[in-house]
Amino acid sequence: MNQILSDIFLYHPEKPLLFTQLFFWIFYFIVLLVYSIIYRERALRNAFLFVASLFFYWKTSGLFFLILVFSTFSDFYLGQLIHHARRKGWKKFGVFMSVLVNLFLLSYFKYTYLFVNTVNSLFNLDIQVVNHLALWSNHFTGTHFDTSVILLPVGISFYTFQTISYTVDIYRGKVDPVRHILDFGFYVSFFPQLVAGPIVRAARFIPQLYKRYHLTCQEFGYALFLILKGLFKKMFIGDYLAVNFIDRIFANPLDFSGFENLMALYGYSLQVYVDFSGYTDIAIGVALLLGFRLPKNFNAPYKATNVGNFWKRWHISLSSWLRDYLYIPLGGNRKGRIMTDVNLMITMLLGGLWHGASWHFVIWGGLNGLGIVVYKLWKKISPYEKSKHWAVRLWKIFLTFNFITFTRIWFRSESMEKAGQLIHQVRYFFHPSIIPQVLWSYRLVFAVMALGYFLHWVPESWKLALLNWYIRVPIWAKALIAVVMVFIIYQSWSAKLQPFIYFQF
Amino acid sequence: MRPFRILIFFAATGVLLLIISLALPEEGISINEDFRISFFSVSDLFQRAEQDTSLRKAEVERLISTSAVTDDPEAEAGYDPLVPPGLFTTPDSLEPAAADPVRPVNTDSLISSVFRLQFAPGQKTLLDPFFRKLDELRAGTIRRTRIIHFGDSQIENDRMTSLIRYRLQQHFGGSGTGLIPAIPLYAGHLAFEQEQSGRWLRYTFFGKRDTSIMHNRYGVMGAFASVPIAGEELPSLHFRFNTERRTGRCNRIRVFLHSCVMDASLILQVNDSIRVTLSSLHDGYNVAELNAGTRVKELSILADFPEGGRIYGISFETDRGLQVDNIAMRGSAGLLFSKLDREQLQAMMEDLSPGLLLLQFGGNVVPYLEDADYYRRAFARELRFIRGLCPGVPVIVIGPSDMSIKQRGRFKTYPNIEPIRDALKTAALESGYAFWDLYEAMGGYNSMPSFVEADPPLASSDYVHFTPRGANLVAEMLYNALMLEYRKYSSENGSF
Repeated sequence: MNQILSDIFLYHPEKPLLFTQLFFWIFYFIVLLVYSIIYRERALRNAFLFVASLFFYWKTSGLFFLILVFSTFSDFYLGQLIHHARRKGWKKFGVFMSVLVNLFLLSYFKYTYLFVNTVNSLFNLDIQVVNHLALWSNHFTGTHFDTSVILLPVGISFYTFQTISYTVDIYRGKVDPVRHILDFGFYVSFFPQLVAGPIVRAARFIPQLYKRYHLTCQEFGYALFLILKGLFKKMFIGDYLAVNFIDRIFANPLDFSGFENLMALYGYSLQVYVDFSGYTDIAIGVALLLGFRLPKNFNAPYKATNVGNFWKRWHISLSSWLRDYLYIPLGGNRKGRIMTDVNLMITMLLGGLWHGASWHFVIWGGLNGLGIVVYKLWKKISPYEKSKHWAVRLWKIFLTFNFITFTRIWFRSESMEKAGQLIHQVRYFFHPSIIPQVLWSYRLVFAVMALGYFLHWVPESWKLALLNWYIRVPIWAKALIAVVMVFIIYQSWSAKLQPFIYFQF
Repeated sequence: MRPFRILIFFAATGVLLLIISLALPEEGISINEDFRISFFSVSDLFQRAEQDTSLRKAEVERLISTSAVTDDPEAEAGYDPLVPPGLFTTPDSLEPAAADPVRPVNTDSLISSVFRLQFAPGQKTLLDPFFRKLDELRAGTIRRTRIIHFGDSQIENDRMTSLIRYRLQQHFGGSGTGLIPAIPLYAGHLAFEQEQSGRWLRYTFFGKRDTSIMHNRYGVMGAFASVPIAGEELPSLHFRFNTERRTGRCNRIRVFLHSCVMDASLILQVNDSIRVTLSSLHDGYNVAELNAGTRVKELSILADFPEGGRIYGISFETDRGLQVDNIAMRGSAGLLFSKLDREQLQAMMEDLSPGLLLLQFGGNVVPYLEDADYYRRAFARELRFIRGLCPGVPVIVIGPSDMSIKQRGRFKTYPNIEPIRDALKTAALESGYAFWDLYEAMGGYNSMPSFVEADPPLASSDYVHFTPRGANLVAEMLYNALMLEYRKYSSENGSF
């Protein structure tokens, strides 16, 4: 019994509450159970979802949930200060403190190692990272945290950006502050989007806190469709490709021919999309069933016709956040052509750094920035820019997709060295003669990859037709389809691993 | 739509899934060899991984925390407490002596943690001939010796070998990759870049064999590259060495080849300044050798073989020092040596003149072979064959690593690993050779999932192969085991 209670209530790092785990769905079922009783009481509903979200975060990140609580308190009261202050200076001070505190938390937990390693390598030093927060906690509260490491709290990149948007929006007068701290805590920590977004703007979400629960039958079908679609994308396609092909090649590019490396890169382009968009599909669906509308985060990004267009379709909540809270405050496009490009590059470089604390993410961001800047120049002289011909559009999509895939080398590789190794293998050890063998031996992997790209590139009208069909079918059929989908996904999850293949070359 | 209806929907879906789970047999329904329809069982839901001992992962924290290896052995500082002091004097003019690093260390506690080699009773001095060669190398009474590391895909791309090579060469001199195939699929740690002109093809005796090859002269590497017949231009192999790396530095080149007719010739061009034509190669097995006398930065090998021929391997080495070859045979169980042409194999082995052989196999029979005793007998036969090929040369047999099988989404050690490991161990010890138990060294049962989940990962997500860091971690353990024996030899023979 103690063991079961420990399993349920204590933090087990090896068992986080992820959408792909059965325990998440048991958790969600219990949340629904309570929710179906209290949903009419708005304050109680919000307080309950706040507590459930904190529990979710506790199960996912352990004591790091205290950081979330701290963030909630500090930004709630800073929001009040900004709103109620009569003098502009106090308002500015409030915003400044909010940005400072959030960026400090983010930098401390995410970028300390990058900073220390960079200083060490630049000045040939041997500075060791010491976790001063853990030291402080051990000293004053008697805890026994390891002071030699700084672990990254799950989702910190998302909720710090979310709270910054809250205080800045109050400062800009776009939103009124939340009236009750429990409501604000709910906004910051709402569990469907806490770990991997979408980044929810205060202006869009906070009004929902004060609305009654409302869900149409169409929305119910839509939410279920999103959940099933997300699970299929994440587990059937993404996880299968990662475990059976992509991860092993990126772990050791030199062990594989150039062709395999190249295929892993194209596979990764798909995997990162289905993983991320699948996760946010589930998040949007799960939130919608609770009556909350989260913003769309992806819009068929590999149908983009240029890099700028890609960023309007990829991780939309982040790119629009960067536009509104970084690019525009930097000056946006208001200070001349050169400064526009400079602002754009700064935004993309910092956007790259947001994705991971390593210089290769900065390179990735920089390449994407360059892609946008070069396209802006090219479209001025391109004779085909305004052409509506299908071949021109196809060419643009092809070019953009390949450029984005190329930049993924620096996004996925564990280090600059590994990125160099991948390029080296493609350049010097391509071995085209083994292509048929590779395709045949990994036929299941390539079939899944082809299915993934096919589903991505089919016309939107087809996808819409499928969605509408699912929404229309009776509820019992919806349940049956859900069961079939879960069964299929389980087969992919439990399938034998693709063995290592021996190629004759 | 009220939340209660949604709750009922989820409950109904859950019940339907539960019915399927109860209806399907726990072991699933086999569709074919590779695919089995299965579904979670009720016991899966309530069974804790920690309670099921077959799923409990091995503890590898101590292994990881006591090692400082990285992805690249050459990036390490030279530090080796198990090696007798004063050994950092190298006879190799290419490689200046490394400074003897001084760091406080408790050697006794280090020795007690070394995962040791196992010897048959009365065979403790098995490695002495090799250690004698190392001493002679150090004293300058011999110029060269070598270790040949044979293995399956676990050592592919210089994994494990690279660390052993780098550490040993730091003490005993030497550099270069050692033996490589003429058409390498990989360039271990980027030692060189290779380009080729002409239609070179690679044939292997292991893995899938090309049935059009009617002979069994594949050389020591169990593979050869067919030399295209010269047309208007001579077919060529071009190497550009990365001399920043120890493996990329060599001054002696040997090409092990076979010409189908008399009067074939091979042109070796080094750094655009040295051009040597080795003409009148006789029909059959030949070794073309070039002592460049300088560090080779670029090398072109042009083959003028009127009727074609074969290249069994190219060795990039130094005129003095220790060479360590990495010969990875994908898919091989190590049962191929006795099936190769003995005469040709013996001739090449004599030219290579190894002082020590490492044989690392077993992984490829684990998923398939039920009869471990058959493997013991077959492997013992190979060891007898190798003794005949290289009399007096000690052999260390290295067993398979842990490997996981995925069952119902969970990973556990193949049930066959320990019997196969025991078969190899028995074969090695009964043959009078040494054995190193890689499986136990890395943590034994269910250590592979711990290696895969380590941060950074020590093994690939195929739950079979090490990542470079994982390979270096276990190679360091093997190296320490070897150096511990050398330390004992040195103290007993007064050279330490």
